[in-house]
Amino acid sequence: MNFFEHQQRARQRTTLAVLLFILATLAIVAATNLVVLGFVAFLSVDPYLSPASYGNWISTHPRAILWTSLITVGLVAGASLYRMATLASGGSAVAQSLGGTLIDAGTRDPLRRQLINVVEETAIAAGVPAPQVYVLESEGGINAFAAGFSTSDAVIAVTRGTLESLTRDELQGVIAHEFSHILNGDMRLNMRLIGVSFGILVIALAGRMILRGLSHTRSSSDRGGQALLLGMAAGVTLVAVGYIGVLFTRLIKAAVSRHREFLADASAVQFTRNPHGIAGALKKIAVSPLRATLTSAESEEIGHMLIAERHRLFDALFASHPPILERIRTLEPSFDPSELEKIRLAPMTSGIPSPPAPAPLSQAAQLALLPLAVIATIGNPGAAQLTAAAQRRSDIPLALKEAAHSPQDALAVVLAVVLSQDVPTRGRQLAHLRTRIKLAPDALARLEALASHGTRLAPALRLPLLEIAFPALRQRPPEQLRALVVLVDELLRLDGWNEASFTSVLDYALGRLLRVQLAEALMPRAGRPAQPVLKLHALRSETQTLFAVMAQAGHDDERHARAAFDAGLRRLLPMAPPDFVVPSGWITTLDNALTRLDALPPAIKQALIEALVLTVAHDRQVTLGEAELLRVVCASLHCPLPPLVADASA
Amino acid sequence: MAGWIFLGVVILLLGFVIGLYNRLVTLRNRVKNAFAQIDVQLTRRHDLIPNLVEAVKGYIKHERETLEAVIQARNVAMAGLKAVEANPTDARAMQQLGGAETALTGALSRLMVVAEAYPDLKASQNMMQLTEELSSTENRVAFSRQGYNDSVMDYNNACEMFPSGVDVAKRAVPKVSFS
Repeated sequence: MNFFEHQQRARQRTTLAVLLFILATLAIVAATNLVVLGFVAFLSVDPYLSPASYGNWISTHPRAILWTSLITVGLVAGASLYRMATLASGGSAVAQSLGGTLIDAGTRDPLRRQLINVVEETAIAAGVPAPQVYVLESEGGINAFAAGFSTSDAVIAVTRGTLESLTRDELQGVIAHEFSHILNGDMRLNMRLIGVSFGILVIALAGRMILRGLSHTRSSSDRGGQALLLGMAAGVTLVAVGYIGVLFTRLIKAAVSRHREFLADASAVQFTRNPHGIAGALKKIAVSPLRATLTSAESEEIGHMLIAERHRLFDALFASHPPILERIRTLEPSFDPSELEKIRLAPMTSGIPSPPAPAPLSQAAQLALLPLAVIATIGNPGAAQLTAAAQRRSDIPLALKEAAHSPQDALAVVLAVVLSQDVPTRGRQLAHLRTRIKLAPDALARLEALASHGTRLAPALRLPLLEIAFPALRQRPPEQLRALVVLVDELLRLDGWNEASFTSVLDYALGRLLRVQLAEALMPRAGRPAQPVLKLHALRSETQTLFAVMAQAGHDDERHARAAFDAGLRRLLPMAPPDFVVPSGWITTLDNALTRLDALPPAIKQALIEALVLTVAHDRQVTLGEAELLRVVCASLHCPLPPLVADASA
Repeated sequence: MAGWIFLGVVILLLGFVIGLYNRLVTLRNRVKNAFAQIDVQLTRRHDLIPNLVEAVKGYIKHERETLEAVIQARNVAMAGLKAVEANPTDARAMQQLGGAETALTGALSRLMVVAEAYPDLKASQNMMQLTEELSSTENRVAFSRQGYNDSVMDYNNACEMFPSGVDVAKRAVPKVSFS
């Protein structure tokens, strides 16, 4: 079949969809009329009104039937037209409504650069203009879709998980699959389907909204109670009638889009001349823990546009995609499902950068600790960092990782990470939690389940986990986030986090990083000092505090700490290095110092961090405490530093 | 009456020939356009090479001749591209360009093998970007070559098949493939 025949097929499928749509509307109209009749029978005081006399009633009240039908049809058609109108701006509207960010074609970020390149290459292979590219940054699953009405307003969106877990060839396969949807007219069809399905879903949606609204109102008076009951009845009826629409929507999507997927897989091979790309991607989807999930609310509506769907309870009749194993077998006839087990065990990475032979950690740590090397990595993660990050990610227990991606559980993940490893302390912390927030029993159980994972989590994985949770956290309401910051501070203080000892540097780093990042998410401009301070001498005591804390954090005895302190400050302030004084109440002092140091201009910040790295590296060993403190200092000064490869043995 | 029929047949025949001619012109222009696509990508590749050489120079101490070979191959390929641009339907120039590009690909892959031996170079941000751009360009060249070959095949088919094959076969653009 050639291109025109595929387009022709797509049109025929559209006709089928329209027929099913009309059928769905008719079914809904019939159901509505039945409800009206039932209502009449219910209200009728005439005890002799038997089912046989409904016919009488209908023939005497033709108008009632007519109006019911007209209103229902009007509602369905109006909703469909409305949804289509909101989509009129094309594919970018869909991508944005799912939280996609447009990727600038000149981006320098390696993963995004690769994506843009792959899209442009495939555009050449498919002979269509390169579409706009969106990334769904907060989605960890592997999925992608194409949307738009024509090749010129088409967009391709992929999830963050796709970028991170697929190799270049696999990404190319996925993108080529999406191009097939653009080229063969499926995309246009899919956009229409969104509009159509909204029309027949609108009744169910309205019913659900009424029920949800009612569950929030409490009414005491009798009249109110009656109204409530009436409202409930109306809501339930609407949902019941609307369910016809839900069934039909699934049927339409299954009938229309299911075997377009086989076509798209075949076209992907045709464009790339490499069947293993798309097959590899499908295998990874098949074994990926997040599967092809999208967390966005609207993903229900666009499920049929995605490259793969997560199989829910409804059976094969309603699936909008063919089973994934069948798709893989079509591409690779010799495919053996036991192969998946191997893929499940191997870490999924994009292969960017190609992982070098794992160097011994301590050597890598030393390498990373030349001041210039550290400065170069700011805002610019290199190979060692990316491999280390991928490594860390795969070390985090699956349950925690999944929870960290979900907006519902992200708060609990943060709390679970903060809870102490020490059992009595943890008991006190949990008790405190119960006094502070009202927790439903199941929420508490969930938190404890997560916390049991959390306590087994190596300390080095706490900050990375927090970072994974961050996108999901940002979706929570601001007041919850504010409360979370306070709560985390309180919990940490219960865990012997005090101003006198330096053993709790890790906890400090955790708390401070959370505070800084959440504060910025809540108010991007706040927290920045209004007045820049141009001279480091003006912040002499702050600098001294910072270096003293850093020196103390990395060295047990005072002599070594003093030497490390001097090593850093002699470089920063060669004329008059300050004396080594351990601040009393270092937590508060350091907090204030960091806030004030943020007012320095970038060039001085750079010198400051270079000198700080000298202090850290003075004894040729990086403890986890030092590495994390350095990271938090950089975050507080707004110079994002990728995780240093810490010497775990130290 | 017979005169009218004759006239009708002539007009039909004329229309058929005009249609045939136009189709061939369309196809030939498609070949030209497809070549223009390759041209863009090859130029892109040639432009990338000075950056690559610049990035590698600082690290590579011993294998100077590998670097020289890349520069040499690039210059030959650029000259070949210019010759083909001047005369896109010249089969010989096209073959020469194909050969030059093959040589360039070979020289580049040898350079990449050499670069493997320098972990610092491989890990450098600049080099990773260049490698990505280079492999992207290779793909672009490959994909536009597919398009070119397809359009050449369509044109050749149209020229050689009956009826146009009878007189225009000689004008066929020879199918060229480079690798």
